[in-house]
Amino acid sequence: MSTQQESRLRSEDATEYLNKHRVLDLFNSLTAQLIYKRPDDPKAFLIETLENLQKSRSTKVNYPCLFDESNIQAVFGMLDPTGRGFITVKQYQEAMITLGAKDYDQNPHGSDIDRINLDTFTREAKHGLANASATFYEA
Amino acid sequence: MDQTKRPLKIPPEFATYAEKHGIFDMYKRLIEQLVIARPEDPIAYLINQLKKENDDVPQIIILGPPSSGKRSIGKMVCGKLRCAHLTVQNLIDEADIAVRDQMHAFINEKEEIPTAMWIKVLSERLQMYDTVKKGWVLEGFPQTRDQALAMQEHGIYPKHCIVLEAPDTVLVERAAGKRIDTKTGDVYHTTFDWPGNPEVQERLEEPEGQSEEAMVQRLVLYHRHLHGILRCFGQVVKTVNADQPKADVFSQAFSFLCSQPRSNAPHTPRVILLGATGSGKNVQAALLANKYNLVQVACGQLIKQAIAQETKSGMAAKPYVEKEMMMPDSIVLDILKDRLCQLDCVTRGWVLHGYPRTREQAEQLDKAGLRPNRVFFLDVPNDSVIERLTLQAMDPITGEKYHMLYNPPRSQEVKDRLWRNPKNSEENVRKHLSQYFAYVEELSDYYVEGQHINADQDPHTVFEGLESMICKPLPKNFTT
Repeated sequence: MSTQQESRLRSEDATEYLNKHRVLDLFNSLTAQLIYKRPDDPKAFLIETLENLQKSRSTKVNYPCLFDESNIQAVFGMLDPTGRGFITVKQYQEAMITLGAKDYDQNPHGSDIDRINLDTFTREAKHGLANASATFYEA
Repeated sequence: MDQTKRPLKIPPEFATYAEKHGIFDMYKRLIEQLVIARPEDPIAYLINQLKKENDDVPQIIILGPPSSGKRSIGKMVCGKLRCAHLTVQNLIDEADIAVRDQMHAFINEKEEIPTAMWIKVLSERLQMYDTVKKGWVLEGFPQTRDQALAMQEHGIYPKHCIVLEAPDTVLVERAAGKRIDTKTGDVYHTTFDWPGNPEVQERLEEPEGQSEEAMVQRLVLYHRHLHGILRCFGQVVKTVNADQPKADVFSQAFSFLCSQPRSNAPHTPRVILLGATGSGKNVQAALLANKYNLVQVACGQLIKQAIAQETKSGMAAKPYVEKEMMMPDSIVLDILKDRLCQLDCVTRGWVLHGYPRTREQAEQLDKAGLRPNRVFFLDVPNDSVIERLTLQAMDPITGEKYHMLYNPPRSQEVKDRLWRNPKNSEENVRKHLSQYFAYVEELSDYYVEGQHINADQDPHTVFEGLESMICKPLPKNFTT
């Protein structure tokens, strides 16, 4: 009985550790990059990616991410094919899910009138993507 | 198609890619190590682990009662795999001076060395350069379940565990004749394994504690703990009978070391069955397809299908079939590629037979990106094939198949109306056989990782053999 309890605690410890350091998110983002680039030497590629992540952790910019600003603008363009210059809150939220952004502002500027313009969208998406790519523990 | 409506899906090529590079297993190992070590900075730790690149190294434990030949087998394995040999003795000798003195104190007092101390020594030793880079063979340790559990807790887990086994009477007798080379530590025996070199003969010494009483006590102790230890190692254990010549024990142990434990990595089997006519390719393919939900692809049938559906490549193939001529490789490959690139083949895997027949065809198949991950040669002697095929017959009324020897028709009436397929005349079968044997050698040269299986057995026996080889990862080849 005591060993059972102990092992349960140990597995809880492990889960807590993995969650705290966002290890699963980290592996998700590594896999995404692997799928996208399919390098010949995955090991070297992973080392490089991790080192980049280390660098961006200290500088707090340029998190390794598959999407850049042009992709974000393209998404906006798709949601706003007629060029009205804004999208609805629902579209905004769906787009964020599609991009895989994390911890973005649910009610950004302009949500009260159901109109979100490109600038707001780009800013929030960048912010959310950076959050999603910053797969490490921040004290 | 509207790109935004396309469901998010991992591209099928990635599965092949991940399988080729063992991505899944690598992730599993990395996360395992992370959870065990729980470093403060996981990213730096991961970089470090990735740089070590020690996934392939052997990690072996050899257990066995005293005098079962652990030392000899351990030395042979280390010599073959070029890895570090760890024994209880050299673990103590190579430990830090402070720890070593403590351990010696325990030994002198005839007390047991505490598990924690053992684990400390062992994990330090396993972090040294040679064990990390080349792998290790740990002999005669753990001796208790506690030690085994503590090892697991520290992430020390073997990939293979060999347990030598022999009747106690044999061991007691063996111990009486045991001699040790004082210089190299090799173990010899006065009657069974006497060194040829006179220099070595002179150095031999009788070890202590080999009297019958002492042996019996050690054996009792060993048997008491063994069961608990083995429960810790579960699936990686293999028991080898040690009461046979050294070379035989080693060859059994080594063939086990070449096999790899099953991994949880998802894998889509892409199987090619090669074999002469009548070797049971069709039957086996159908069984595999049925059990593992693979797509069965018979090359000849596929060509007929293409002709019937009047596809472009089918029309190209038609004149050759009508005139019974060899078809150009490119047409066959086109037809095959169309089929194997369809979604069901890519996601479920396939089992192909009737192709490739020559080395060029095999090369082209690889170039088309359709590399199989299992290749089997169904080996059957010619006489069996002839017996199997020429005695086959079919009842034209019921459509039932009979075999004159193994499944003869019940009544004379049925027997009289049986038809034999002209394709199965002895002359025809011999022609097919010689065609197959003309190319089988170059095919087996090309598919180095191809596995041969004796198909001259009951279909289900063959099937079980195939199954086990598909489920387990490919065996390792240490010679290269």
